[in-house]
Amino acid sequence: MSGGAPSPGRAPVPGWPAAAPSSPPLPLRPSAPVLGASILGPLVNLTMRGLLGRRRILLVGLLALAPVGVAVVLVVGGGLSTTAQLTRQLYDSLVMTTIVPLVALVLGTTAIGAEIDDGTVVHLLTKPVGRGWIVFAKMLVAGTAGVALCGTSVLVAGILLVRLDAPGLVLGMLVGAVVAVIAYTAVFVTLSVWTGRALIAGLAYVLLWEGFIASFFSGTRLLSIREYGLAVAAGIAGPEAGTLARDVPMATGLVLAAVVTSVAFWLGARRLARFEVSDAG
Amino acid sequence: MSAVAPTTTVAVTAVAKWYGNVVAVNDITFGLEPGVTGLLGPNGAGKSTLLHLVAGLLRPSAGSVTVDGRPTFGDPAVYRRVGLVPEREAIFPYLTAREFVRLSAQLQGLPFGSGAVDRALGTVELSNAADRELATYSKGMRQRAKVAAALVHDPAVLVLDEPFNGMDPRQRLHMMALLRALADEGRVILFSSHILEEVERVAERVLVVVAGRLAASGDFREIRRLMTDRPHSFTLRTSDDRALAGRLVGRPTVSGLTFEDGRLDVRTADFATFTRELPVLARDAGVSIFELAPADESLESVFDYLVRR
Repeated sequence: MSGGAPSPGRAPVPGWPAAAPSSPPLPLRPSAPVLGASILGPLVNLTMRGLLGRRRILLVGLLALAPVGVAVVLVVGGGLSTTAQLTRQLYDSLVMTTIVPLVALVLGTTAIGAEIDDGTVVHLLTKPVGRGWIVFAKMLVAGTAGVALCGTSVLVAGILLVRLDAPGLVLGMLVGAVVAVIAYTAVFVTLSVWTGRALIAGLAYVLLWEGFIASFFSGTRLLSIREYGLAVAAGIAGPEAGTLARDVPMATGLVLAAVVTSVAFWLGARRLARFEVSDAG
Repeated sequence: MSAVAPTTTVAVTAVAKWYGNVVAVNDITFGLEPGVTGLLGPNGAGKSTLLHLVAGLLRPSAGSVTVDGRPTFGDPAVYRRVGLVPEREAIFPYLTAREFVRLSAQLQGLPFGSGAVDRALGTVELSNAADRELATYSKGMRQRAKVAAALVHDPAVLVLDEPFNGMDPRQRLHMMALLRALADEGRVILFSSHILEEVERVAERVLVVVAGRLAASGDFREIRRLMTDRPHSFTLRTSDDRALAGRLVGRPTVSGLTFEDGRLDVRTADFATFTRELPVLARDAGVSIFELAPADESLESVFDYLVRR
């Protein structure tokens, strides 16, 4: 892969898209002395501190751990025999419908949207840094945080509920959530580069499109990140998938998630390269 | 800091910037060479928009902005040559000043340990406070931290938006001296201000922007003369308005006079002579002056005058 873009081989996040675009679309002359991979470290470091420094990260953490809380209540509280079926329902209707998209929404829009809102993004934009790398660093940090939070939550909740009776199901749910959270964060990072109302737009997508329209019209499922995640979860769970089973094959889900993530990255980098800092006065 | 060579030039050619129906900057043309240029104008005149255009953060709706012949918008490579100190106080509050300036150095690709960070912090006299978080800084200190971050890569062009805002008089003098020193090294310095005296103290050339248009440009003394030669109005409160008015009426420097309600309004076409004559006239008439206030000395009225010319 020739200089510039994040290569899938180096992806530090499990499930990071196989098809990352080959180079950020920057309007640069070949000789332009613009920095690339060498500044990823400082950018990632800055983004991490920015994300961890904001109070909303605590909220996101609590949100992400909600399934664990529910699992604990179910296991300890009822003495009720927690079955794999209950676990599937929890995963389908809570984790993949609400937790994963909302965690990704807050992380994705905070990673760069907050810097655009408060004006600190100017300090990044006035540097000879390829815009694709700024977007990539934001997606990397938000995605990694999302994977860590949602992954832990699904794994712990899954093991609490089905113990080791259905390891395939737990693994499937884990990978499905990871794939979904990566695609979601990429989309939401890009959304906040394109619009100052990314949070609203993101909520509209999650609640209206995925929550409502896509659940009624099966044809629109191919345009739903949630469905990609569920397809991957069902594919890995195999016979243990039960009601999680999907019309969309796992390979299709994976490829589409990778395409969505890559396109989101490309659009984000493209937009940031032509980004105008409005500062009235 | 090393001298900058060869000579860098900034060219702004017939630039306009509009947002929908709102015209922020209208058909402005000027060139910048090494030295300090002050961008003077009232609030909302389009100074920030113009500086953002120069710094490549806004796309011109018409015309072009180039640094050494290369358009500034959409080309990150331009920031090798350009540093920007934005007006907004936006900083990363969780970073220390040293971290903030180091980040800038890293994103400029400066080698680690090159001393550039310490040098920049020393230039703005922040070395002692460099390890405190920016959140704890005063407005003036944040301003200096931003200057250090913009200077760390030794840019040939430095653009500063209202750099003296929030500074105390000592910091202000220091910043003025710093801008002069940077200009003497051959840098192009462009800064905005809405305060005449700031621009007068530090700038060799002045661009006056009013309502998005370039109202005047050139040598400062020329513009100063235009500003002081215009008719001035003063309001006086004295122990005996009528007696003083009698004396004033006879003077050629006084072009108009009214008195009512214990208040004397005087118009003069020759500001300098009038201000020398007035105390003498008052003394000779045995009149005490309690108050002397310029009636129209707001910067806006100065700009109005320049635009109407």
